[in-house]
Amino acid sequence: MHEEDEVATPIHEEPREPEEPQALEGPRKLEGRVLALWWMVAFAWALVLSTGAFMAHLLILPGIDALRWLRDLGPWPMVALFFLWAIFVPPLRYRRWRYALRDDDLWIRQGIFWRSVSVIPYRRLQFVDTRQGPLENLFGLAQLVVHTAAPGTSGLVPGLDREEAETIRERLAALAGEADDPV
Amino acid sequence: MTPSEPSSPLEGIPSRLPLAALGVWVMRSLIGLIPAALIFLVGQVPVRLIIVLVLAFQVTHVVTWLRFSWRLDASALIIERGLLMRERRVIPRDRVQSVDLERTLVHRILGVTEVRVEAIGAQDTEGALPALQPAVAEALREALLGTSDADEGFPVEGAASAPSSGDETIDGEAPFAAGPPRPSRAPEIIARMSGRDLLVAGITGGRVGVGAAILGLVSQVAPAEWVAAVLLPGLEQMPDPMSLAGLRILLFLGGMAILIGFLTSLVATLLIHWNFTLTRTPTALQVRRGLLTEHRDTVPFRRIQALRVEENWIRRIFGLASVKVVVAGRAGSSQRTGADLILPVGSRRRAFELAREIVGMEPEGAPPLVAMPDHARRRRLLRAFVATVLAAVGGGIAGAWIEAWTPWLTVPVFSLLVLVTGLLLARFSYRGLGWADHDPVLVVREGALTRRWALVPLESVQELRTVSNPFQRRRNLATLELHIARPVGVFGAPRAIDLEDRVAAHLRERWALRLAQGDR
Repeated sequence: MHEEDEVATPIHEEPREPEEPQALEGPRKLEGRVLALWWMVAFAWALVLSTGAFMAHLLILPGIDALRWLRDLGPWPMVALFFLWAIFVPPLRYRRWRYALRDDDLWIRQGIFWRSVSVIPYRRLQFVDTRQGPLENLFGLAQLVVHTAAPGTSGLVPGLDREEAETIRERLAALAGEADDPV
Repeated sequence: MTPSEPSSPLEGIPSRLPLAALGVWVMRSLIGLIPAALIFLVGQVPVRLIIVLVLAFQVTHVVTWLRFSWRLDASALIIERGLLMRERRVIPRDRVQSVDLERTLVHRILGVTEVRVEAIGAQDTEGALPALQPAVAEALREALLGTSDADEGFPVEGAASAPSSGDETIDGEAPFAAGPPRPSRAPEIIARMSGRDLLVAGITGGRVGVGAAILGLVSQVAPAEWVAAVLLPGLEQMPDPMSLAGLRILLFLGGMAILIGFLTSLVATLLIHWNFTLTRTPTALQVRRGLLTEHRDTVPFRRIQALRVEENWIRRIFGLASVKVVVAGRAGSSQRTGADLILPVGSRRRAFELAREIVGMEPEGAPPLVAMPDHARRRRLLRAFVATVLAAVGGGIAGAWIEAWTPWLTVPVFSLLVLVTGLLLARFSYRGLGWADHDPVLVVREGALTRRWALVPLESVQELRTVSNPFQRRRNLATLELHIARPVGVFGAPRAIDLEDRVAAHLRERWALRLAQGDR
C-alpha cells in the first residue's frame, strides 16, 4: 500500500506525483493505545451483534418458512463475520490514520473504504476542543475536535495522548489567532 | 438609514411589542379555534361556555404580551419573554445573517410587520419579533444590517478581525464585491417577475412529485372503496396492470398526479412569489414578494456564502434556470418559504448573469466547465449494467416466486426498460458533472435530471476534503468537497464528483494554499 500517496504539497503548476506535506512536522500516526481501545469497542459490538444473531435464530427465524435456508445455515457465519470485522477493521483503520499540522492548515487522512483527506485552514478554525470519554480516560487518551463555520464537526482526531492533545489544542488556538480571521 | 423617529427599544430601553401584536395573536388563535368551536357546537356545548373558554384562552396571549420585551443595544438584539420559564435571547449583531420582514393578512389588517432575524449557527429563526410598527421594523433592519457593515472588515463571514477596514473590502478580493462601491446610491431593481413569469415558474417547477405524493397519501388515508368509488367508477378491485383496462386506469392516475402537481406548483408559486422584486442596495440584496403574506427579505452581500443555479429537466428544455443564495443562518424554514430564491425562474443567460454579478465574476452566461475524466463516464455505464443485471435477477426470482406472470416475456422487457433508463441516467449524470476555477470563484456542478451549479467564492470555503470510495479508487477517481457555512439539512456541501484523484488532490492543495494566503 502506498502509505503517503495522497499527501500532496501545495502545487502551483501541473498536478504531479505528490510529496510529503509542508508540515510543521511530518504526518503523524495516532497513539498505539488507541488501537487497543478500538479493538475493545469493536469486540464489544461484535458480542452484542452476535447475541442479536442468536436471538434472531431462536426467536424470529423459526416462524418464517421462506427463510428456512438461513435457519439451516445457523448463526455461526454471521458471528464469524462480526468477529472477523472486529479483528481486522481496527488495525486497518489505525494504519490509515494520519494527521499533520502543516504551515497553514490541519491535514487529516482517514477511512478504509471511504478514504478521505481533509484540509482545514487555520484561518477557518472557530474553536478547538479536547474530549475525553470514560474509555479514553482508561487509556489516557483524548480526542481533538476542530470546528469551523461549516455545519457539523469538521475535524476529529481520536487517539491522542492526553497531554499531547492539550498541547495541540493550544497550538491550534494560537495558530488560529495568528491567522487572524473572523471567528 | 431610514430617518425614523427615535424609538426607545432601538436605543437600548426594553419595551413591549405594540398592542397590535396582541391583536395578531388573538386573531390568529380565534381563526385557529374555529374548527374546535364548531365541533363543540355540534356536540351541543352551550354557546356561552364556548365563548368563555375561547376568552380564557386569550388570557395566555395577554400574559405572553405582557412578558415580552425587546431592545437593541450597541452589541446585540435582546429578546426576553416567558412567564414561568424566563427566556432571554441575546443575538450579537455580528452574527446576524439576514433580516426578513413578513406581513400575513392579519398583520396587514392591523398595520404591523413581523421581523425575523436569522443568525449564524441557528437551526431555526433565531429572533422573531411577532409584530412591530413598520417604521420600527425598517429601522431595526437598518440598524442590524447597516451598522455591522461599518464594523466589519471581511465580507463573507463572522466577525471583525480582518486587518483591513471596511472600505477596502468592496473593491479588494472580496468574493461578493457586487460591483464598484456605491455607498449612497439608491436601491436598484435588478430582477422582477411578472405574472406570466410566475406562471412559467410554476408550470416548470417540477413539482410533479408533490402531486403524486398527495395522491398516494389520499389513497393511503382514505378507505380503498372510497378511492375506488371516486377514481375508478365501475371497478370493484385494484386494476390488474397487465390488462388493458388496468393500464388505462394507471395512466389516468399518473395523469391526475401530474395535473395535481402542476396545479399545486402553480398556486404555491403564485402565492409565494407574487409581485417578486429583487433589489440591490449598496450592501445587500432585498427580495419583496408574496400575495397573501407579504415578505421583504434582506440578505447582506457579505453574508452570502455561495450561489446556486438550478436547472431541472423541464426548465433545461426551455433554457430556463433559477438562482438561490446560500446563507449560513437561514435554516430549513427558508427552503420551505422560498426565501433563498433570488430568481424564481429566468432565462439561463439572465440567471447566470445575475449569479455571476453577485459573486463578482464577469457576467457572460454560464461559466465554462471542465468535464470529468472518461473513467467517470465508464463508472456510470457500468453501474447501469450492474443495476440491470440485478434487476433482471430480482425480477426473475420475484416472477418465478409469485408465478403471476410469464417470466420469459416479462423479465427481458423489464430488464430492457431498466437498461435503457439506466444508460440514459448514466449519460445525464456524467454530463451533469463539471468543475471550474474562475479565481476567486470555484464552480462545481452535479445532477442527472436537475443540474445544480454552485458558485462558491474561495473565501467562503471552510474546509477542503477529498473523498473516494472503493469503486472510485478502482478508476483513480475522487470527489472534492467544498465545505461552506450553510444551513443544516437543506442540501449537502458543493462538490466536484469523480475528478481524477491526482487532480482532486492537486486542487485541494492549491485551493487550500490560496485560501491560506488570502489574507496576507
